[in-house]
Amino acid sequence: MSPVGESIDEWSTLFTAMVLQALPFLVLGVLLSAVVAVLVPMRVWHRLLQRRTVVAVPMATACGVLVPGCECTTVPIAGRLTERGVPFAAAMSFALASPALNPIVLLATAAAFAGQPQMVVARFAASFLAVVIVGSYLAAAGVRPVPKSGHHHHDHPGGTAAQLIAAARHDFTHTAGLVVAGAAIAATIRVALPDDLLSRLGDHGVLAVLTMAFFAIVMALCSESDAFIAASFVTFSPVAVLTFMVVGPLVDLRLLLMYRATFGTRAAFAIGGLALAGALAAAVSIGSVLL
Amino acid sequence: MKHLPRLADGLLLCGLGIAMIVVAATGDSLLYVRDVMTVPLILAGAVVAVLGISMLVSSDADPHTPRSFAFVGVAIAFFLVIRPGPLSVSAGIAFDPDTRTRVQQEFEIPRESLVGADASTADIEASAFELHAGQLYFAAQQLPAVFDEMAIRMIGQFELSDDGDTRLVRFRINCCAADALPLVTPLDGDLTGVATGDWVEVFGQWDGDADEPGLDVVSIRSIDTPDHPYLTIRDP
Repeated sequence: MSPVGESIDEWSTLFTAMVLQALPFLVLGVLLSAVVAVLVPMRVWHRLLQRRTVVAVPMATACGVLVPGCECTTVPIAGRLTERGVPFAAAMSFALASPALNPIVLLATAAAFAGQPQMVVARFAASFLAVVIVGSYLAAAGVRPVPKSGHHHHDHPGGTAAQLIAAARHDFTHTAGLVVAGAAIAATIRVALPDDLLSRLGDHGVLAVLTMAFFAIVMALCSESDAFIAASFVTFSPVAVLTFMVVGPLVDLRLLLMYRATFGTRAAFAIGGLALAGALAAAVSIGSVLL
Repeated sequence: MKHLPRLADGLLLCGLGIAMIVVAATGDSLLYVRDVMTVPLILAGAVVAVLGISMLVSSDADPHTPRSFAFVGVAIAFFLVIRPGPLSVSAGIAFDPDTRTRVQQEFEIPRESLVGADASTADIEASAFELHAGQLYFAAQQLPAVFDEMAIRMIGQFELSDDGDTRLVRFRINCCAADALPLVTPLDGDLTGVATGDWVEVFGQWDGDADEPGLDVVSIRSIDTPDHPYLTIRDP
């Protein structure tokens, strides 16, 4: 088979795998999002998170730590929380913390880096710091994008079941296409990367960190699997490897498209840029101390 | 027109839901994701199909579905029509995993597979115990002496590298093919009749040391792509 044919085959498999892996989590996310929208009374959110932001951001981050969520699950929920009056900074803190910090991710990291508990500690500390940085900045800057989702189903006629279906359908149709597009872009970049690029970049300190951040963005891996890929980058420094694991759950191609679908283009760029900067700062600072 | 019409919207939802169910129920999903995703895929597909039916029968106003949702049509085509195969050894997986430091296997070796160092091909084929590369790496570090006596069967994709090395490759996934890592076993012996990318079954005996485990092959033959082409984190 020609190299072009092999590349097309590889692209097809990677694309299909990424879409298939993401869809069940996306469906779970829109179902939970619909429950948030239809069944949870507003006063619950007010009681939990509608407090001063200085309390809401760390509380939302802590909630995220305890709730195992995939990126595809938490972004629709964040949109719905924002729509229900939860401060945007707190909703995003939850959305970022859940896939980055949940116990399953930490267990997977421990398995991938067997005998290196410091890597698990560094991942948790750096990811927590990055989420708090992002949440605090969003709160301080007063960023309050209007969620693009949710302005159609509020007044949906019918009973609770009909409202749940309408809410879930709305969120799914607004995000599923972008998940597919994100997978296509990520697969394209994966296939296009030259084979010997890694070995050439791994030796350069700053460049290695930036390269790993770039890979995390374009590979768009689930946070529960990225540690195994990270552990395979044996030519890169531990700080660069940590960067890969901290950046990926907070910002990647698929997430950027979901941020855009949920909060709009400007907010997506703001969240993405901020998350990248926060993740880089946290990974380098924590990694330099612990690794 | 900024939005998809209701009919297209509903049909895409139904089509995607059905495609997810079909790809999981037929086992095709195992070419891309782990087996633990089969039930979630079927359940999620049923939910999506219900959403599609509700869209088709709904009398609500325009659903305002963005045109980006049309991308799911591409996914449907890949699930049902194109149906790509599993990752091949020719895939540009640009990682060189140091698997030896991460594989911590525990498995029992059946006594009948200990055929001795000078066993015949027929004895090896009849008594072989199936191993995968992860177990072989474990053996290289922990039990090299035991493996001198053992008849081994392995399956994977054959690869003849550019520099003339012959290898057996099996990918291990944690979530899906996007995070696949190749587990590589060097092969030695008469390896004619197979080509790079072929799925093969090899029989042989331990040939290596703790630094470079490998297999001295006594027989090799092409096989169909296995139902479970990938190793997963749950494999022993």
